[in-house]
Amino acid sequence: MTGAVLRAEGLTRRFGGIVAVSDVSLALETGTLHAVIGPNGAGKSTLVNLLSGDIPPSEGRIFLGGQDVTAAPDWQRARAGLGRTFQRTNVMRGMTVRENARLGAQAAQVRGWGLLRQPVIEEAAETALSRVGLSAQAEAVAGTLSHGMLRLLEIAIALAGQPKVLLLDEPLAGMGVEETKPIAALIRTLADDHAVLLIEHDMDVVFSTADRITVMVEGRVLIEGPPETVRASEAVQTAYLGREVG
Amino acid sequence: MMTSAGLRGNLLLALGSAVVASMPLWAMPYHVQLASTALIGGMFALSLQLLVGATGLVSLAHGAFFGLGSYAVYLLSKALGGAPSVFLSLPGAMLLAGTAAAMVGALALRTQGFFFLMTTLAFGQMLFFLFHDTPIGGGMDGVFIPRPDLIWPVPKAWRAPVFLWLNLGVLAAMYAGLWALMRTMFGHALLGIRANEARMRAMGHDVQRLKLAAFITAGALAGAAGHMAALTDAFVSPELLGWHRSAEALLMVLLGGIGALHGPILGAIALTVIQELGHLITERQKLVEGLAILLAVLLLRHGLAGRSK
Repeated sequence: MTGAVLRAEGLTRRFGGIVAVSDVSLALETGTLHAVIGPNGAGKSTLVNLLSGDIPPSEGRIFLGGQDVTAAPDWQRARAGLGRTFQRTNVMRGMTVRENARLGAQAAQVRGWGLLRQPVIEEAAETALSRVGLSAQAEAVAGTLSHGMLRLLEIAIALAGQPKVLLLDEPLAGMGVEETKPIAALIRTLADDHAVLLIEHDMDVVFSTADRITVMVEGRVLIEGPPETVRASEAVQTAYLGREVG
Repeated sequence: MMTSAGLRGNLLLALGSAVVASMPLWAMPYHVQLASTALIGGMFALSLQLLVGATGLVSLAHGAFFGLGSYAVYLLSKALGGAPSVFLSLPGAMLLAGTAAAMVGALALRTQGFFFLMTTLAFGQMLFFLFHDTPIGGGMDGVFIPRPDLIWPVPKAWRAPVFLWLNLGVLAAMYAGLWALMRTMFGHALLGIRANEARMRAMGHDVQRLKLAAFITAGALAGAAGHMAALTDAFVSPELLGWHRSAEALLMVLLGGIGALHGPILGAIALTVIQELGHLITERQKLVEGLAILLAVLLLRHGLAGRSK
């Protein structure tokens, strides 16, 4: 497990009597696209929220770059190099695309009294926008973008903070078939220089892009391995109620 | 998004300032004093705009910081045994109000929304009763205070115009300062918090600290407004700290427009005029006031400052 940028050990999260995530361990490495799949209610989003620091775990530990961040709040983890996107588009709709990305870069780069300077065009923000293909829309107000472009902006905001780890919570949610392909390709290239965790329902995308797949059912890890192993697993077939996987 | 007046708007504001500044030439002394009251209301509401319009925080403790700024003049004059210099009393008022805001904010900002509103109400009323029920501020009926010394002594006949110009200058400086502040990365971060606090945290912004910085700055500016009230009226009373002061400032902000930096200035002037007109035409002053505000809010969705671009 050495070389992992983000490592979770025995993560458990209970909501009252319900165990949403139960004893989940995983390790994310740079250059690896790690997908988490599972039926609705399997605990995938809860897992992302545990890793990002949105909610604290009931049990277990989380290490970011070798440091125990289990007790660190979400914004401190973000500063330590953990970027995330949201399942439901979560941007500043009244601001321009550039300002959304610039605030992402500002969070990572500017502290204390430095905040009393005027904003400059941040290279990190511009790079993030061009990487997702939104440079031409930089001056547009975010609220006027199409759904597909907003999903790209979600990713650009996270990228602008120059993270080491990217947690992508259903980045393709609500997208048409035509829009899916280029974004799936983008996510694949993001894994070149980041450790990427991808939550996704689209099995075609998952099995054609992921390096490793974790299958979650009812909060537990059913199986973890390369796509071929997961595809061949009978347990996975059963979990999906006989539906063909891949 | 918070807009500012724009070139034409700023020219209009400058023109309005010139009209106000010329009032001693053509208006009755009473109206000159009334204009000072409106300008001080403008400072107070403008300081609140940093919380409401910029950061999305609605506080009911703001009146307490205003009152502390006023009482700073009393406390200083008591400690010095005479009138303090304005160069001591103004920073002193801002320091006292800012320190109180730091303490209140550090605790109240742990809560959100409705609970933040109630917590600030509780802290504000604690400060009110501190001055109302203990001898620290000279008693519940208020006290006359020596006015802070300006550079030159002001003859009695010149007081109303000089204070008018002074208040106009302080309001203009405050507006310019906040205008510049909203253009910094700090200002942009506050707007981000107002727009989407959760996303700002996920990006890695220390939202709690940014909010506290805004709360302290707004508190110190409210203290400056309170100081100018004490200097203008030469009188302080616990009423200056009460929660209805905060509510009145919130009304000014609402009336003028939450989305524009200069909105509260227009709101403060409008509210002062409405109150005065209500006073002139009826004894039911509050009724007229309430109806006028209701109409304004219903008809002008973006306040007097108008729609943000």
